[in-house]
Amino acid sequence: MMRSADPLWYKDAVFYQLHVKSFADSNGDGIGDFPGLTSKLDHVSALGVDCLWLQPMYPSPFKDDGYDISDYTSIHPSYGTLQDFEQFLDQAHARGLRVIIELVLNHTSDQHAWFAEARSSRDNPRRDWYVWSDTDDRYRGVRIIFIDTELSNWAWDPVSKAYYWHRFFSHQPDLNYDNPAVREEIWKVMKFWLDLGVDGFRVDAVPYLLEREGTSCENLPETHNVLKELRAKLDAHFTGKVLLAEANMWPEDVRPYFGSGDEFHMSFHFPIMPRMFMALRLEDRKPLIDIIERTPSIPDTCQWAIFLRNHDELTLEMVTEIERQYMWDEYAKDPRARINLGIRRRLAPLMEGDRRRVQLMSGLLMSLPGSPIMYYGDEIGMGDNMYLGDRNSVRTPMQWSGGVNAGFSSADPERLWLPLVSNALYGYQAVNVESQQRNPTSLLNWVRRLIEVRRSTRVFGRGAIDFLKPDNHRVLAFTRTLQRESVLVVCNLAGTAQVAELDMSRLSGAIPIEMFGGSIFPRIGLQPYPIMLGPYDFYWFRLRWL
Amino acid sequence: MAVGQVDILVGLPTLNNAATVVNVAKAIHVCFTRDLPRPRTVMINSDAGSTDGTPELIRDASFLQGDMVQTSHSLRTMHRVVTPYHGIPGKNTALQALFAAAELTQAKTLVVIDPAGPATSAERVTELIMPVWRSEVEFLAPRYRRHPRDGAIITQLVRPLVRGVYGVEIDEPLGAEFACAGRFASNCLEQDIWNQDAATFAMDLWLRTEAIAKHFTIGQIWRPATAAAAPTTLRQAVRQVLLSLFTTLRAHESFWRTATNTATVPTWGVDDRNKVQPAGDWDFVALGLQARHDINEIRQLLEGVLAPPVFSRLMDDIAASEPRLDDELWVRIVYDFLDASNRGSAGVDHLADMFVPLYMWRAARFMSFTAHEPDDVAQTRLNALCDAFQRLKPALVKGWTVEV
Repeated sequence: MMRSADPLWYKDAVFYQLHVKSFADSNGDGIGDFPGLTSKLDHVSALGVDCLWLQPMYPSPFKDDGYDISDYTSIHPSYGTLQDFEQFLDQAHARGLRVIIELVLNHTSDQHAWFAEARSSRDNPRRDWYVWSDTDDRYRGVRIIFIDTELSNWAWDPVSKAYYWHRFFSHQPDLNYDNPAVREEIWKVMKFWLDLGVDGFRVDAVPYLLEREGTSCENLPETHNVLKELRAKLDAHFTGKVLLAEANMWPEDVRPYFGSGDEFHMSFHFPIMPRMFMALRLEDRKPLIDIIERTPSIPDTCQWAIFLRNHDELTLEMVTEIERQYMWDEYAKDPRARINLGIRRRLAPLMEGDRRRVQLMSGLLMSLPGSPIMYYGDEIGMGDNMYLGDRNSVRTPMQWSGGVNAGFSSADPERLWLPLVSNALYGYQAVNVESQQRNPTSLLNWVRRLIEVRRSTRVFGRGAIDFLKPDNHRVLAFTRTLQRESVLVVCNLAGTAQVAELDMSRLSGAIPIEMFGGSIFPRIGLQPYPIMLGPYDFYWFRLRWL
Repeated sequence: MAVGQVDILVGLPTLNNAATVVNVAKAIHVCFTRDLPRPRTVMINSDAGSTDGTPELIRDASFLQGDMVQTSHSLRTMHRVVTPYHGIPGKNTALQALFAAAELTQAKTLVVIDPAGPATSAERVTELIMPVWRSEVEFLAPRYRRHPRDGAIITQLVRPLVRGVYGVEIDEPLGAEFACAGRFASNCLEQDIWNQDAATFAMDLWLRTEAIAKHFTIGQIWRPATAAAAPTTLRQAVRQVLLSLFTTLRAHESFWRTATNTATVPTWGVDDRNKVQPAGDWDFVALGLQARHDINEIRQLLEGVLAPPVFSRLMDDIAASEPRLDDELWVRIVYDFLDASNRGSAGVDHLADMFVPLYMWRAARFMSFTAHEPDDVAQTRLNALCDAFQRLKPALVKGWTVEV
């Protein structure tokens, strides 16, 4: 597979998110590493995805799962060396796969050398790389994000006897982006990795870069200026790279981060995710249509990133209180499944192991506007382990086979960085890549086919969406249209057979061709088009005017 | 039906209710949106052929978010179905359509709202829905705090008769609104009631007694008293009630003949005693004179219906110069009429016509007798009347049992 030369490749791409330490361990220390990941690239390539998103692989004290970086231009020793990374990158590129990595802009670890210098004396040249104060009353009223653990956004530094600003954990001091030297240094970090060949960055926690008195210190115009500056440098030196923003906000609030096509190329569309789950449970298309219809348009060169699950909890921040309670009641009956404002479960258990529902959700992910991001292990229906702390329930090692340690590592099982899922339903003996590769009807092979069909047209990545809204609210139907190409998507959100009459008179004369099997359906006329669907069925039809 | 399965179906049977129906429909919409965001809900308007644009008003009514509480947000698609029903216009046909819709949609809860209810609010709709939705009860009837001298047709006839004969202390056996479980709606659809002549006006009573007779769990809910609509004359109303009683007693004969217990019924909601409306300003003297005149006119006919001792006591009562309140006489008159209807000794319509002046006489007697009594004393007399109906029930059972 060749990498697309199109600089807008990310608009058509399917992304695959993984954590190096959970994917494959090559040296038997119980922790996944780059050589291990490299050895499994054929699996990722065969899946048909276009781009890997790696979670932080930098040196880190790991007080925040690697999002507390102590060195921006190295690889964590547990994951291998920079040379291992380069080899991985080469091998990925050789398979036509792109790679984006994490970039934590807002803060560093307090173990970072920059912070060590900054706190060493008030006269240190790097002192002004962080935000200091002699008092803790500046920026009063700015919300505390981690209310469970932090009492203030200021922390006392006993070394330099001053307070430093942190929007996240107190061990993560915020960088001072008012300082041009910081902006320049971050650009150097970006350039370092881009020169190695990475294809972009998933940029963590972007709304909080700068502080201004009397504001919420979020989404400030000055923050956008910094982002525009970084983007301009990126565009000046490289082509075909992508910046993906993490901003867990309503789409209209995220919209400014696209700028006029001069900030981020992509941004996560957080609110659409819980609504996919909600629509399925409610058996009602309303939540999905509501959120998509309130999503503003974005510049032509930009793209939303959508996902079903990721390394964090299924976040319920972007829902109403009523919706959150509904989601918890329906998807997290066991209180252990709840964490923060979300649910720490993987896709398959959320779907109660129902293959049809997993497929429908995957079909939605691949057909709604945006570039889909698939979380490692979901392609085989991996389970989770709610008894692990924090969000580690969804970060357990990849299940490659039914053999020792699921083929993840040759270490003693006790040494694995997280225990494998080993229960009867989702355990690695039952759910693993090897067995699903051998089974033509496995979920893995179905997902490969799904991605293959999605990749057969650019309409899913770039096309406009129009909802058909038949009377039956259990049926979600929409067209995706790009220039003269149209695809009709019809989904039954219910666990019972449904019928719907689609008003497609504007498509009169078109012949629907089912995209997975190629079956030709009756020509669309002026009359309502009846369509019957089994439980959780969905169809993708390519529309042809013949 | 595109609506598919639902959890809660709210029915709005209408006939020329343009003046009030939009507010009622809005109350239902707010109830769904604000109070029931999770369940699958639908509002169905079953219209009897309104000529004042009622269905169009419901169909086109726009309920903007601004009309509602700001925090309200429905999780689901809100369906609003407007459908004319087929058949002869009447409450039975409208209800049959709604019950059929409930069965078709497998609704767990069916609520019927009075489209003419001027004070219908979202809160009141929700209150009516919740006990059934929470499976606390299968049939929920409204209960009104009445002045003891108000609603004589209920207090003197229907309530005590149902209590006495069916053994269930249901306060308001008549009334347009109710809530029921889907299981009850399905049961009703199977019964041979819908096409009976009296069904057009007997449904309210029949639904309640059907719930009792089929052992559905029953409850009541306090509702604010409202001025009763009076589409008919007193004579028509009495006639219709008596025909309803004939119909329901026949339908549930096997139940009430053997029913021996008296069951109290749980009540939901708040009894606002301070909002009891004063009794109507009756000219009970004129009513009594009219009734006495009418009874004398038909005394020969009455002699053929009432048992001789009852007839004799009635004549004495009419002739008495001092007002008397003879509960036993009234109960025996009612039972004799029911017995006569069962025996077929006269046509039901004919019996109903004969009964009207007797009711008027009883009502006038009660009004005059209690005119200067405190309300609680009058209420005690009403309770005593219920007891009399129950105590004398064996006479009804005995007469009903005799083969004709």
